[in-house]
Amino acid sequence: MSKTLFGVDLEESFKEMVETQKKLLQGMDIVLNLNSTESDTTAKDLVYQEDKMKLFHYKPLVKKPLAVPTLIVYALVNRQYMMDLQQNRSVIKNLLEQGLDLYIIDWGYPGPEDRYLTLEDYIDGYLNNAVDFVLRATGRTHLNLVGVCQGGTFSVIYTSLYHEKIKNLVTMVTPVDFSNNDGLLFVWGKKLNIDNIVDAYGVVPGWFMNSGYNLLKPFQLMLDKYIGLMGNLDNPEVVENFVRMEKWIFDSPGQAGETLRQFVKDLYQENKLVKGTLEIGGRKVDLKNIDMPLLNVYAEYDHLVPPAASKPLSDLVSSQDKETFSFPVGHIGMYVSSKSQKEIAPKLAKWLKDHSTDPATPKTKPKA
Amino acid sequence: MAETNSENVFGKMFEFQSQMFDFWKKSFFPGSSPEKAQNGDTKPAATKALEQYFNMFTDFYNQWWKSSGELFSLNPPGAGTAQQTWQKMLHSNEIYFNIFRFWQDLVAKLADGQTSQTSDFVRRWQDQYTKMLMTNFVPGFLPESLQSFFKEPRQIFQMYANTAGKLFNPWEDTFGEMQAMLLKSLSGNKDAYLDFIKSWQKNYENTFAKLLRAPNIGMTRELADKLTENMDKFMDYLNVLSEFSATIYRVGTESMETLLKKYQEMMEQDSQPKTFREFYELWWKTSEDAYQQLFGTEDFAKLLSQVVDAGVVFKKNQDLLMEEFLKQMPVPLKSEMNDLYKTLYDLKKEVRNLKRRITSLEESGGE
Repeated sequence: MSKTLFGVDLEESFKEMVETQKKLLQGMDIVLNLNSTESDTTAKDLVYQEDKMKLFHYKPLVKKPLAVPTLIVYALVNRQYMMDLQQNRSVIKNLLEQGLDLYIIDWGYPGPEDRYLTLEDYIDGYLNNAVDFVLRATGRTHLNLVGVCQGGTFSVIYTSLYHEKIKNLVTMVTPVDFSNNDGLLFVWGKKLNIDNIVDAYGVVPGWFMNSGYNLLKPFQLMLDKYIGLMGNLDNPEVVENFVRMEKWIFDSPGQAGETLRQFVKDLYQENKLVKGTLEIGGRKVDLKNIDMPLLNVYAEYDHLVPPAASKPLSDLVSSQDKETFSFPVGHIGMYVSSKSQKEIAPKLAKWLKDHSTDPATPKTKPKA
Repeated sequence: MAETNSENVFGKMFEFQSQMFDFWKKSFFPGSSPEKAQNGDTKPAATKALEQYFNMFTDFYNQWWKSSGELFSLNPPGAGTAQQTWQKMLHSNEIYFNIFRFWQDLVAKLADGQTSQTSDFVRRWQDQYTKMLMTNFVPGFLPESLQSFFKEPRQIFQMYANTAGKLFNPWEDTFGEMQAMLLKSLSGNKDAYLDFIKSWQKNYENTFAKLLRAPNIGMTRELADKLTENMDKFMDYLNVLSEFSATIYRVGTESMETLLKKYQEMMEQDSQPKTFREFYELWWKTSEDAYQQLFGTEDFAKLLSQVVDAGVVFKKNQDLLMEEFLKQMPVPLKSEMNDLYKTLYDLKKEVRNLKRRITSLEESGGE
C-alpha cells in the first residue's frame, strides 16, 4: 500500500515524476526530428477555379465509383482538409475506398478585395457554379451534396433554392436553428455588434475569430491540451498528430465581411432560416423546397454547433425519406476520431450508395 | 569553462534521481516520524523531507525547461507549427509550474499544521493567482488569441500615441494600477474606488482636458475634432476593458477559493489529490467550470460584446485619424482602396451576370 505524507502519495508522485522526466528527455529528440506533419495528401486534381474558390476532384480509389458524384462543401472558417488531415484517419480516403466519386470546394483565403462578397455571391455564385461544373463534367443532372458545419448551412440554403440539382442532401454538424442558447457562440453571437467589426476590418481576420473560439474553453484549449502533450512527448505518432492538428486549427482564413455580417445578423441574431424569412438574391429561402432524401448527422458533444442547432432540420424540410443520426463525439471528433473511421464515414458512404441507385437518375451527355 | 545548460540538465537529473532515492528511503524508514532537528530547526523531519522533495522537483524542472527552451530557440524543429507548438507547451509549462508552486505552498502549509491560517494563505495567493491568469494565461498565451481584447489594441494605441505626441501615456502608465484599484473596489473596498476615480481624474486633467479645452478653430479644427473623438473612443475602450478584466479577476479569485474549500473538504475525507497531476486536474477543471458559468450568462455576453465593440470602434477611428496624417503622403489610403474594391466587385458581378445571360440565350438558341 502506498505511503502518504500530509496527503501526498509518495510512491505515485515518485512514479509520476520519473515518468515525466523520461518523456521530457525523449520528447526533445522527437520534436527535433518530426517526420511528417503534412495534411491534405489524398490525390486530387484542380478542375475548376473562380477567384479564390477552387474545386478539386479526388482520384477514385475503386475501379467503378458511384455514378452520382458527391460534392463536399466545407465552412468558410478553417480549411477543408480537416477531412483529410492524415492518411490513416482521412474521412476523404475512407469515402473514396468505399466507392464514392468525390469533389470538394476549397474557399481559399479572402483578400481585402473580397470584403464585399455576400452570401448571395457564395451561394448563387461560387457554389452554384461548382455544382454546374460537376454536373457538366459527369454528365449527370443531379449530385449528392454533403455540407459540413457552416458549409452545411450553405448547402441547406443552396438546396432549397436549387433543389432540382440535388439527388441527396447530407448535413454534418450543421447549424440551422440559431434560436437556442446551448452553445456559447449562440449566446455571444446574439449580442455581438457585427456591424462595427466588419466596418473596422473589412475582411475579419482569422486570428480574431480564433480568439472567440479559444475563449469557449480557455483552460482546455489554451493550457491543458499542451500539458497533455507533455505526457505523450515520447510518442512520435502522437506528437506528429498533435502538430498536424495545430497547423489546421490555426490555418484560419479571414472572413469576407459582408458575408459574415449577413450570417451573424440573419442567422445568429434573427434566425431567418428557420423563420422562412431569409432572402438570397431577392429570393426567399424556403426549407420546404428540400424534398429529396436527407441525412442529418450531428455530434452529441459538439460545443461549437450544439445538437439543438442541428436536430430541428429534419422537421423543417418536406423530405419523406429522412434520417437523423448522432455520434458520441465532439465537433472535430466527427472527422478525426477512431469513430469517424470505423462508424461515421462507413455510415455516410452506405447511406449515399443506398440512395444513389435510383435507375431514374438521368444521365446527360457531358458538355465541353 | 562554463557548463552549458544542456550538460547541466543531465547533471540535475542524476542528482535529482539520487536525492529522490535518498528521500524515498528516509520517508519509508521507520524512524522518519517527527523529530526535532539540530541547529534550532524545529521542523519535523517528515516536513523537511516533503519540502526537499518539492524543491528537488522544482530545481530539476526549472533547469530542464530552461535548457530545452534555449535548445529549441537555437534549433527550431522543422516547420513553424512544430516550433510554435513547442513554445506554447513551454508557456503552458510556466502556468503548470505556477500551479505546482501553489500546491507546494498549500501542502506545506497543511503539513505545518497551519490550517487556521487559510484566509491569510488565500490573500497571499490571490494576487499570484490572478496575476498568473491575467498576465501569463489570458493575454499572453497565444499570440493570435485574445490579442484582440488585450494586446493588439494596446499596440495600436502605442502606435497612435507616438503619432499623437504620447498624449495617452499617463493612461498607459497607470493602466495596471487603475485595474487593481477597480478590482479592490469590486470587492467592497471603497477607498480603492475613490483612488481609482482620483487617478482617472488626474490622468484626464493631464491629457484630454488640456486638448478638449483648447478651442478647435482655424485650419486644424477638423483634425482636432477627429483627434478628440478618437480619444473619447479610446477612453470608452479602456473603461470597458477594465470592467472586463475585473470580471475575469473576480471569477479567478472565486475559483481559487472554491478550489481551496474543495481541497479542505477532500482532506477531511482523505479523498484529496494524492499527486500533483491529480491536483492540477482538479485545479483546471474547477477553473474551467467557473469560467463556463460566467461565459454562459447574458451579462457576460453583453460585456464581451461591449469590449469587442469598443475595441473595434477605437480601431475604426484610429484608422480614420491615421488617414488624416497620411493624406499628405504619396500613398493610396485604405478608404480609397475600399472604393476601388467596391467598383471592382460591382464590375465582376455585372460581367458574371452578363455571361450567364449570354449562356442562357445560347442554350435557348437565341441570338
